[in-house]
Amino acid sequence: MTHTIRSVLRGVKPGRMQSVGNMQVIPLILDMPEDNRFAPPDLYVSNRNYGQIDLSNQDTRPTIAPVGATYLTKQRAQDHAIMGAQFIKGKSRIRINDAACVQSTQGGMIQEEQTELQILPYSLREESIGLRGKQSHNKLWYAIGRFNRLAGCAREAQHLEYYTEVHNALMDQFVAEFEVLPNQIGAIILINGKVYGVERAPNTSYWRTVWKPLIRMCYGSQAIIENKTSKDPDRTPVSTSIGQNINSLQDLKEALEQADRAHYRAATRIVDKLLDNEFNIDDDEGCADFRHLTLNNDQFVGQIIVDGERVCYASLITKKDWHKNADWRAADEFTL
Amino acid sequence: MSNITRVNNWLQSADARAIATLASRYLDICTTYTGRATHYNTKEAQQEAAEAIHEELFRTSRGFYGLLACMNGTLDLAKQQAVVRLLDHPRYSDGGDLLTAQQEKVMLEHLVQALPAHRMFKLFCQIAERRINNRRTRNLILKAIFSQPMGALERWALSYRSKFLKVLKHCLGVKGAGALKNGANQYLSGSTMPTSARSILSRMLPDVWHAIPLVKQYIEVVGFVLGVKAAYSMESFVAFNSVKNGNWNEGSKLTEEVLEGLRSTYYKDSKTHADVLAATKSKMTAKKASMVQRKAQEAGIEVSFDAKNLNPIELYVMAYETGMTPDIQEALEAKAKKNAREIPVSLGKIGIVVDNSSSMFGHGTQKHRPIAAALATRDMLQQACREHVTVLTNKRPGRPPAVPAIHGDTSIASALLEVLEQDVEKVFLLTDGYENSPAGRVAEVMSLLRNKLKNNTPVFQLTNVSGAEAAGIRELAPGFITAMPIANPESFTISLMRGMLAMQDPKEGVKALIDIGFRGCFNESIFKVDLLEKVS
Repeated sequence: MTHTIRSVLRGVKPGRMQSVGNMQVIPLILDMPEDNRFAPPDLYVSNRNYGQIDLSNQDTRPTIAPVGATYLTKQRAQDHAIMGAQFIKGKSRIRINDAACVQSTQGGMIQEEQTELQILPYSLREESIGLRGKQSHNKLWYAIGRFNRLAGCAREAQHLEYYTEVHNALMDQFVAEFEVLPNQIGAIILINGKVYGVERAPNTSYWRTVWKPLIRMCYGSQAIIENKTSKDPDRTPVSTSIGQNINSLQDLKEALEQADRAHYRAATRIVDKLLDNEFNIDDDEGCADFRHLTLNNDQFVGQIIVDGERVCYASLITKKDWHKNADWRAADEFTL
Repeated sequence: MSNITRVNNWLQSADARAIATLASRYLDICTTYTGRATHYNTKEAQQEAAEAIHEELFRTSRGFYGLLACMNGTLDLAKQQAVVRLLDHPRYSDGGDLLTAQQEKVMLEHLVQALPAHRMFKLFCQIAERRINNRRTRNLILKAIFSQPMGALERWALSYRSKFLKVLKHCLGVKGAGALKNGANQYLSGSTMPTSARSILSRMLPDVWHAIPLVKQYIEVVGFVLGVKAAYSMESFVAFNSVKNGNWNEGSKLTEEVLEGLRSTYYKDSKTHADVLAATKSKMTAKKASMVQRKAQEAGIEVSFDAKNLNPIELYVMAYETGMTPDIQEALEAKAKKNAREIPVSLGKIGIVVDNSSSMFGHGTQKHRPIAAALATRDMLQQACREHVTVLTNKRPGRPPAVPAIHGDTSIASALLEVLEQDVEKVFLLTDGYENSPAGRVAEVMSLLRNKLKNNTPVFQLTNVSGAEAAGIRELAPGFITAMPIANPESFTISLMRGMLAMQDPKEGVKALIDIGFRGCFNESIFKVDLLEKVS
């Protein structure tokens, strides 16, 4: 079976676009019965070796550790991240041997604890997907150093927590700015009007758990980098003119409604352009009754978990090369 | 000299602009500084900054400084600091200051009485540690403690025994306290109290000394605090001694904290904290009972509490967590009415927009707090106005629930237009300031309203702040909407005053502050200022 964004997003509809600063989010609202077979990824974490991580699911239902799940512990132990998504059965524990250390000069093993979930920054995600299967605890260090430089961290050592120390307040603001809607199970995330990621969760409670790490660290970090400043990104709102031909409160009300409709149309146009580009399947693993696919096309790379043809989970980010030539693709085709 | 003449004289000699600037900084500190470290500043750096502002304003005018600390909505820490500073610096003359010595005494009593018991004792201990010991201080402390009803005194003697003792020793001196202990011992053993002890007691308790039935109880309280070993008649003292001597069952007459103290000393190995909780659940304070409501409900246990003892924000948080009950509803209404009476402005017909988007849910330890603060402020405004139009930003079809659902994105602009259509005189936006559909829409609408439609209806943004960082609330439309941080409904007046101080004529702002201060402390309006008119 072939997969496209259209098939990945079956059963959801776009909500009203939320737009603050240089970031926009199109909420994906469930338009079919909810899939409550999966628990939120509230996992217990521990490890016994560098580059290895144990995840324990204490819920009776299975869950999915999201792509790039990252655990920054307060213990004197090395923080770790996983490269792809990970299916975990109910009341069970798995060991992941291809995890990466995200803290180059800290030693120590993590004693089991329920650590707050974070998700790798967007700019590390493409690389980390490519590093699945490679057993090397330091495989992300170089990329983390580069990321810290780009994100304006004064300390450039390969510690992911340096980024959170510098930008914590701003990341919290992202959470307050982009709100979860009723029945929301996913989102398309844009920065400066360009798509950076498509995320889908099995159900609303799963989504509420992953949204915060996604908007804070994963996509929020890219919004900060895109703004090319070391601290606050430009907080200027996007231009959303509601017209000038207004002579009464009633006119203003109608103009506002029109602008809201235009805003919605803008969101649907963005989604429309993504829909039909077919994915190649790089990897196909079975996990219980589900299949775990790694997808790739010229625009996106990421993973989905499917039950037959039903997509339960998806996390797809746009490739860096895609953004490099975005102006070229946006230019009009030659016509006579 | 009449009050108005005194105040006008002071105003003439004062630099209003400098005072307004200073007062504005002071009010920020008064409503936000909690003495804790924040994300941006260490505890010490904050303390230093707060101290500097307190000192500067105090040096400018002790009367004005005290009046500001009295305002409804200032945090207890600011009140404590003001009392210490005012008592630590003697008044040398009445000349030139805003308040007379008698007015300052009333103001100090007002400040102390506004504190909850544990903070009041903490304040008195600070005074003792700093060795502030003049007649004014002693009288203030003894009056604040011994003017309380006997039930409160009995409770305090048990719950704050060591602090109470420290304060008594500070006020009476070690010798005086010793003499009193000896006298109380003799009295409680059935003998006559020596003259020296009688004279100390009559100085301590001038108002009750002749109320014979009460005297024995006062002596029991004082004796218990001073450590007299005697046969007490007051129920909780009897229970305390009984538990101490091995009768655990008497512990049900004590509060959780007191019994836990006894357990950790006398029953370390035989009883656990769970035994303490089981024994004292009927004595749980309203706040504590409210905190365990959800868990108790889940476990099917009934823990009763008195809703009247919680503030409106706590009541709304509870309503969200365990459901609205008639008790909570009734308490909320009473508190809204009380807070509305404190508003020194006339509100007329107003529009209220309540942001109930997802971000109003709050997070971590502040769960439900932003929406609770918005709803508590809404209730107060509704009680304070002549007529109101209230709308939620995210409505759901059907009858509105007792507490609105918190959901959806933030689109305030259309709700704003909805209330403006009803010809309101003022609009209040109760929001966290996070607008996203899209950000900037309210500013755009306000610009069109003001510049194109020439609609000048004043619009105020009231944003809840619960931490120490009040500065930098997120303004929806700078230049068009007056944005004011508010910590709780009670601090609405302070928020208005900040607006006043930012006005063109600082003297008007300072006059308004004095007016509010006089109304609060002495029940007298000097200038009869309408704050809201001026702020907008």
